[in-house]
Amino acid sequence: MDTSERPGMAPDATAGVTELYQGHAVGLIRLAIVMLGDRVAAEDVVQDAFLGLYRHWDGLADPGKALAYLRSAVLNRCRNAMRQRQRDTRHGAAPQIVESAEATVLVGEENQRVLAAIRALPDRQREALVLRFYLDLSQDETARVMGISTGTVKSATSRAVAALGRMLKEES
Amino acid sequence: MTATQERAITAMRAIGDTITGAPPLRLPPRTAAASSPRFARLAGPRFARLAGPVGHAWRLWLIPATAAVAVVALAVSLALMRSAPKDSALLPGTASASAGTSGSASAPPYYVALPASFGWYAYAPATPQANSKSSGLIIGETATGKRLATVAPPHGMTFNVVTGAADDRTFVVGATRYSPGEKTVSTIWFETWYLLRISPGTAHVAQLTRLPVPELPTVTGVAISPDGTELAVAWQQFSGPSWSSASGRPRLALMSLSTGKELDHWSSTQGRITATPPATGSRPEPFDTAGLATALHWTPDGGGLAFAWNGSQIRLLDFTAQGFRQPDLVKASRLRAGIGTAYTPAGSSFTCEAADGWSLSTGAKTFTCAGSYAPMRPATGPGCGKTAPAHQAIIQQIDLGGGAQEMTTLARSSACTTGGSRTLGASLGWSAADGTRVIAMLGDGLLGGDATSRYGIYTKKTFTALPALLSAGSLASVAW
Repeated sequence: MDTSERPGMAPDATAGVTELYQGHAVGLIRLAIVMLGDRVAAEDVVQDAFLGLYRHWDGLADPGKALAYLRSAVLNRCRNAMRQRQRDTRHGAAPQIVESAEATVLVGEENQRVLAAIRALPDRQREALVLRFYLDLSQDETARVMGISTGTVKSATSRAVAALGRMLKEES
Repeated sequence: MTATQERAITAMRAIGDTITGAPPLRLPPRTAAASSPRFARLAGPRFARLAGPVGHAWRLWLIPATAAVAVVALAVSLALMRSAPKDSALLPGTASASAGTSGSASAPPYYVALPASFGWYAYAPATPQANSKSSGLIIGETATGKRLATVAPPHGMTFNVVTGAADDRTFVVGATRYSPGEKTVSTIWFETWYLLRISPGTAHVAQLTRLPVPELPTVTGVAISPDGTELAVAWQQFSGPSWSSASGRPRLALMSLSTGKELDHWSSTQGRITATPPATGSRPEPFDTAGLATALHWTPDGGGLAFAWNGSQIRLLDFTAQGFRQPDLVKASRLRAGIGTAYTPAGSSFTCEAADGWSLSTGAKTFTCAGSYAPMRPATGPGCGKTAPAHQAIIQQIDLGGGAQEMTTLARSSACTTGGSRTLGASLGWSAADGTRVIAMLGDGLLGGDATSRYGIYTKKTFTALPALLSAGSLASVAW
């Protein structure tokens, strides 16, 4: 049974977090790799998010909100990782990622170009776009995860699509 | 839906679909870290932040992210692995090769090797090859020898040394910066540190990230802790601004991989660098190890750090011991085994050099060493004729548990060779936590291409051959 669907119940931290991990880890790593483009960092970010949940489990008022918490935590950590990567790039210390040939073929050059453009969007726009169109969350759910109003989600998504269209048009 | 939205969704799904599974979740004991005697011993305010209670977890957010996120998650994921070291992983394809010997062929499935012709030198590689394709780290499968990826050094750097944690996925790599066209040594060499995470079988096979650990001069030994959270480094601290044969002082420190901060350190007034300063326009020879801490090795349980001292001793810093913290490296450590050349009453000799590879088992109960054996008289017998080697390659084990320090032979090369009289050497690359299995090479020091070399997994009763890793070089340049 999914712990995130049992509001009011507070199972043991290890059991609860493990159950959530089994149910949602892959989805969250997918979310993180869309944001970061880097599997190792994506796995680290998700592991770290679950660790945060584990540490704060006793203070979690409603286990039903755990998944929203995890999504927020993953987004926050992705944001931090991207900022750190930008700083590292400026200082010539960016991580060097060796991709498998299969991965390069699977994702494709065109998709990589689009993903690079998505990652170039401002944080809020990028996150709104990914939550709305990749995770297919509603505007209300997206607002809850991002901690902003529904109206802001709407405008951020709209701006993200417009900016992305411009970037891709300029490149082509 | 607009065309832009469709393109975005297609791209996001394409990369998302490359993820088909998640690594195992490993949660730490909720209070274990703080109660560990080692953590208590090291616990300064800086360290307490990392090992602190639940209420301080938010401080983790302050750690610089890319390297820190990787290392913090690593610390967590490996925290429970101290007691389940590398030998718990089964080597694919060879597990049944030695049936009846209780899984004696199990070994870490992946290796990371420095480029051929590179080895560990105190100053720098003998042949700088900055950024050439051949200078990349090689990641491969132990069982098949198959190369999975090559990681090129960062611009202007040359890889020098690699050390692996117990999970066989986490490595620390040292690299040195060379000036373009530099051929001679005019100043002290500094080592820069990188975290290498490998994920064979996934889209991203390897990731190399700069660590916040300080650059250190004239490094003589390095080892990542089994749980992947700390780096032990031995180096020469100079009082002068440049290389000197008299001003060096050996130092050994433990560094946090997540913050780069020094967690503990020792030094000694006993050791001094003894190499001759390089003549103008020449490269210095790797220096004499007299009075230096070299070739560091953690015990598999992470409870101790051993180092070769003065080319003649293996000494152990025991982190489980209580009491006054001694800042002097020699006084703080215990002599556990002798190295160098030992003679038997009959006149035969056994030589064990730290550079050839050695290890301590869990609890420092067994010392395993690669070296050579010189019998008093050349071997005789069928097939020997006059072609007995001057020195046989040998892997020797010493039981440190009792008072007698009983010595046994784990592996030995043939007493006679077909290629005439010559000296054979051994190289030890990896050792099981209990010391019963090793990955070693016995022969001429070539990892492949030489019929007299035997490279593989040795136990007292079995040998499982492994495919060659490198065309040349020693196992000192390979990490598991």
